[in-house]
Amino acid sequence: MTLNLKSVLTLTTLLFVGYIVLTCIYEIFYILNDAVFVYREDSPTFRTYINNVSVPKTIIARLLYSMVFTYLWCTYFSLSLLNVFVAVAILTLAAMFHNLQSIKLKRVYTFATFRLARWLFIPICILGPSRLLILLVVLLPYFAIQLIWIHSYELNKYGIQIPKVKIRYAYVYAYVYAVFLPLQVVLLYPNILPLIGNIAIIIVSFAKSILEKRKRNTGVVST
Amino acid sequence: MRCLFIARKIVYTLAELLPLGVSVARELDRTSIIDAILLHLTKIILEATHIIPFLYMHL
Repeated sequence: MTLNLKSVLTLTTLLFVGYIVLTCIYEIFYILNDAVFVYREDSPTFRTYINNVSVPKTIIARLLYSMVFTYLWCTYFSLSLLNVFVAVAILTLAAMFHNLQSIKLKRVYTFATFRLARWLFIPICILGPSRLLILLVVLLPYFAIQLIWIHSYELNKYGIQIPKVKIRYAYVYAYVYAVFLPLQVVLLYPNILPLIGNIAIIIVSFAKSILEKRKRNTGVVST
Repeated sequence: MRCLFIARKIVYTLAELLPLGVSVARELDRTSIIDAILLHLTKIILEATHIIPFLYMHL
């Protein structure tokens, strides 16, 4: 694909419609979790919005949106419906593993997998599942950060905070992405174009981390 | 206070109908409407940052 206005517009539309499909399917699992599966958890988080919306209406709206936009997506961009089914199946499997896990601490691993399935959804729909090894390498640091974040989040729900520090996520992003970068370059060389996003995240996170450090309250210990 | 109540009612109504509505609505217990929208937009940008170069290379 050469970089011109038409290709940029095509890629943007492809992603935009893809995000509508993904968001609709993803939100069905959110609703199922908040309305049904939350009652099975050992340390549940009840959300007030669920009492203010009609659950069946919300799910039906998302099913309709996802079907209509999948049809448009596949028709307009000549995507394989089989690839979309594979992506939906992977997302559903990951979501159900997550939703059916009633022990909060075990949800650390299922959540990270669920997020990874979300990230792979659009590339699987567009390219099929066989060309995603490169993307898995690119997503390694993101997967690690999800584990760090959700581990800390779930421990907080139990009233446990280990380590007893306030995690600065800008620093964590910059550090984790930088740690993985040499390995990723070696694995992907010479096709290092997909790492542009990772490098951008390191630069932005590093700049944000320096700004946060300046504002930091001296009384709080941070990592 | 009343404005906030009305704004939340609007968000809940939109949440039933529009994609991303539920994602925003479920964050309202711990953050404001604007922050919830920004949070999800940031997530989407972060995802796109990884996906766009990969798709560009393969399309």
